Amino acid sequence: MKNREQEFLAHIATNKGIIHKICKMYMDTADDQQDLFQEIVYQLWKSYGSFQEQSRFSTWMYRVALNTAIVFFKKERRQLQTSDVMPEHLAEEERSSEKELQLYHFYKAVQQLERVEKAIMFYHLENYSHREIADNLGISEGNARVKLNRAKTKLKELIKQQGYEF
Amino acid sequence: MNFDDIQSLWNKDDGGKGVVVPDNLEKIRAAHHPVDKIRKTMRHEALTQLIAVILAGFWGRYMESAIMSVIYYCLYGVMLATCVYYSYRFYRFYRRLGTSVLSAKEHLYEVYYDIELHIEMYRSWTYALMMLGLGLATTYILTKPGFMQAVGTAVSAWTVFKIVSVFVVVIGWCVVATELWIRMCYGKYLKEIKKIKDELKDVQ
Repeated sequence: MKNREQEFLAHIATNKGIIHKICKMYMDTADDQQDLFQEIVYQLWKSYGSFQEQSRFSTWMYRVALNTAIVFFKKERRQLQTSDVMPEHLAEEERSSEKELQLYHFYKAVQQLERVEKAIMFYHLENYSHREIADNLGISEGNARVKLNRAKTKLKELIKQQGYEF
Repeated sequence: MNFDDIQSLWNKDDGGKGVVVPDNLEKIRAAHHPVDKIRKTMRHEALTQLIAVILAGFWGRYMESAIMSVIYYCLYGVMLATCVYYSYRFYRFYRRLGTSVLSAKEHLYEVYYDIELHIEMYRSWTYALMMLGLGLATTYILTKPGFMQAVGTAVSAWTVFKIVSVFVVVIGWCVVATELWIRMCYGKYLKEIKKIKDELKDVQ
């Protein structure tokens, strides 16, 4: 059991960056992102028995992580907070790098998409085909294509609203 | 900015330098998954009900008459059997809940129908207990020394109206309280998940 736990934690350590990207897409504050990160790791551990070694860990992990993120609710006491103000450390450190600032605005725009749209956008950015996106979401390929196009249009508008040319 | 820039930003983003992975899983506790919130509420309610059932077991000893004690324990037995049955169903449901590796759509449908089923079970259990409670209250009043003598041999229309009114008001109040409680504890998750589930519907 201990070995299995260590093996699992090693997988998590390798993939912590991508899990955190999911958290940043779904939650706007650092506290909520940390809560979601913990929740995803917890749900992954609970489902670890269903992981088949012959499939890629990342493929299995994306499903569980996104299934968790889609139905994850913020703590009630934090729900009224807004994140319209850029965190101070970001404002100071990341303005120095245009790329970092763009990334910040990208996440800010993605956070305003619907939950399913975020999952579609995640799979798209991870270079999944329409067929693979459809399989992972359990919808038709045509539906996945239309939803992805709509999500991209919406994202474009949201980024424009933040003052970027698109 | 364009989508190529976004893709490039995404590929370069390492996710966060400050992410700390716990060194053991005991430090991690779920709390915000709707299913885990429901589990938490279920645990609290199960504990409260267990205490209530134990305390109710002693109450029958303090009835005013022997006949009332007998009736009380008959109804208590029915209540105990009902509680055991539903507790078992809830326990099985509790064990089954969790995040799955199904597709997002199947997962959402599973969570949605699990919560809906739980709410219906909860509702039927509450109404079963309510009927037992009303039965107990009725027999308590009827067996109260002197009550039947006070009523007399003929029951007036006014008395019938009062009895019916009391039952309608009490049942109405219980139904409203139960529905509000269900909505507050479980319904909000169901509503939220339904909203997400609808996002997956085919678009024209």
